[in-house]
Amino acid sequence: MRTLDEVHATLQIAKLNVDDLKPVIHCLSFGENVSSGDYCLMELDETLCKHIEAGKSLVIRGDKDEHAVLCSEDKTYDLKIADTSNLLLFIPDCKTPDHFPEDLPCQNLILSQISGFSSCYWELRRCRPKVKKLKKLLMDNTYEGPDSENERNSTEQMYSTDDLLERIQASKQELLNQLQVIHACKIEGYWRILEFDYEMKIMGHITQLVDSESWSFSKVPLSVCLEELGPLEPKEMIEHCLNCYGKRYTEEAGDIYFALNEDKVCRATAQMLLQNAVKFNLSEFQEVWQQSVPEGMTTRLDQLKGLALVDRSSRPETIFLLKVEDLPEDTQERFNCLFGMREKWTEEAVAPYIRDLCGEKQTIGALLTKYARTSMQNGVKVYNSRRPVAT
Amino acid sequence: MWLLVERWREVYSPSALGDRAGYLGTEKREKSIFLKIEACEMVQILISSPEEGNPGEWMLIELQGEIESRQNTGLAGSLMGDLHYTKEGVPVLIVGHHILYGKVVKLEKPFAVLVKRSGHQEVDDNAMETGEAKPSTNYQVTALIKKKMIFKTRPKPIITNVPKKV
Repeated sequence: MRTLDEVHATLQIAKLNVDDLKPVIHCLSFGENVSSGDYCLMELDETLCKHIEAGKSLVIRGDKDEHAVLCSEDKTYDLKIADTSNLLLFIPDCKTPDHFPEDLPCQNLILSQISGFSSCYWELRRCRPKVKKLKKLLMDNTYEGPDSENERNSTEQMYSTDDLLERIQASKQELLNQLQVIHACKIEGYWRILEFDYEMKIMGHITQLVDSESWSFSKVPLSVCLEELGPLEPKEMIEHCLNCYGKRYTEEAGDIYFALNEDKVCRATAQMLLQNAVKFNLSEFQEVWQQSVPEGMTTRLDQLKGLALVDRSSRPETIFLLKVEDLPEDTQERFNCLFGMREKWTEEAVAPYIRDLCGEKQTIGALLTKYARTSMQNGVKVYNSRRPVAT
Repeated sequence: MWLLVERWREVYSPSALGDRAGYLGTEKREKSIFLKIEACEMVQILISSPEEGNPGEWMLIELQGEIESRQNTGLAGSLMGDLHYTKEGVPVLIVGHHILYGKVVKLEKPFAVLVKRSGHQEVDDNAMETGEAKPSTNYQVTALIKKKMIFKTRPKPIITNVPKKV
C-alpha cells in the first residue's frame, strides 16, 4: 500500500512542486480481476443514456447470418465495434477537482482501483428496423377464414409477438407499428395476415352494405355491420377490416362508427385489378378502376404511390403493379433494382420507392445525391445509376 | 450474429513547434473486419440495468499506447501510478518514470460499462423441448461514464540520475 511519503518522494524526483498541486492524490492500481475481460464499454447517445438511467433494458438481436442490432423498446441501432489504438481505463472511485472543497487542510490520499481496461468499445448508430422479413414470415400461412381447409389442416408455424421479437431485428414498438401497416391481426394469440382475396371479399361485403343502407362513407356503424354481416364472416374479421380501412370514432351516445378512408379503399381495389396481369393499358385501367370502387368514391393515380408504376414512354401508356415492399431492403440493392428496371427516373416517380430508405434526418434529395447521378431529359431532371447496371 | 469492427489508429506527426510541444495526433479510419460474437441461432442478448437504483458513475482515463508491467508479472494487483491535479485543475499522471499532462473532458457520447454474465435461460414452451436450461449470455450495466481524462501529450521522462559536472 502506497504511503504519502512515497508519493512525495516520487514528486520530488519528478521535480514537481507540491505547492502547485491540489492536496488530493489518487494512487491508481490494477484490480485483481482486471485482465479477465468480462467488462466492455458501449457508447450511448442521450436517449439511450436516459433510458438506462430509468432502469430500462436493451436487447441485442440477430440471426446467425445477420449483423447484430441493439433495440430499446422503440428504436433500433446498428452495433459495431470501434477498435482504437488508445487504452481506456475505467475507475470507479476517481474524483475530479470540482468534487473536492477549495481548501483542504491536509493532503488526502485516495487508493483507487482500476476495474478494467479496453482498447475498443461498442458503437451504436440509429438505423431502420429490419422488418421486411416480417411480411415474408406471415405470408407463409395467410388466414383465409375459419372454415378454409388450410386452417383446419395447417401444421405451419404460427407466431406470437414474442416469437416475432426473436426473429425480427426491430424494437417492440417498431414491430407493432409494422404489423399495423401490413394489416396483420391477432387471431387466438398469433399474428396473421389475411389472404388478400379474403380481405377484399370482406371489404366487398362492407361496401355493398354501405351502398344498400345508403350510409355516408364517413359514418359506418359498427354494430349494424356486425349484425348484418356476422352470418357471413367472423365478427372479428369484419371489425379488423373496418379498422384497417377506416378510422374508428365514438359518438356522444357511445355508438362506434368508422370513417372509411377513400384512398385506402381505392388503392386496395387497384391492387386487386392489377395483380391479374403483367401490364395494363393505362386509360382502360383507369376506367375499370373507377367503375370498381364503391359509388361515391373517386380514384386518383396518386393513390397508387408505392404500389404501381406508370410507364409514360410506351405507346399506349401502361401501368403495372410494383410494390415497394417487394423491393430489396438494403439501400444500394434497392437502387440497383430500380435502375435495372428503368434507366432513368424522375424524382416524382422514384420517390415513393425510396422514401422508406431515408435515415432519421435524411431527405429524398440527399439519398438521390448519394446513390444516383442526374441528367436532363426533355427539359426534365432525371436520375440514373452511378454505376453500370444490367437492364 | 456478426459485429462489424472498425479499427482506427492515431497517426503521429511531429508538431511544427518541435518535440517539446508534444505530438499532434490525427485519426484515421482503416478497413473493417467482421467479428462473430455469437455463433448460434437467432438470439436475443439482454442488457439489463442494475437491479437496485441508478448505475454509478465511473471515471475513464484515456492513454495513448500500451501499459506494460515492468517485471512481466502481469498487471493484476500492481500499482499503476499517481494521479495529481495542479491548482488549475490539470490532471498530472506519474506512471513509472514518465509524467503525463492531460485534461478532463465531458464525453459527447457517454459510455455504459457492461459486465458479461453467463446465466441459464429456460427454453420456453413454444420450442417443444422439455424444460431444459440453455446456457446463455447476458450483460448488465454496471456504471455510466460521462467524463474522461485524456492524456494526449507525449510522456515526459523523469531523469533520476543527473551526471555530475566534472
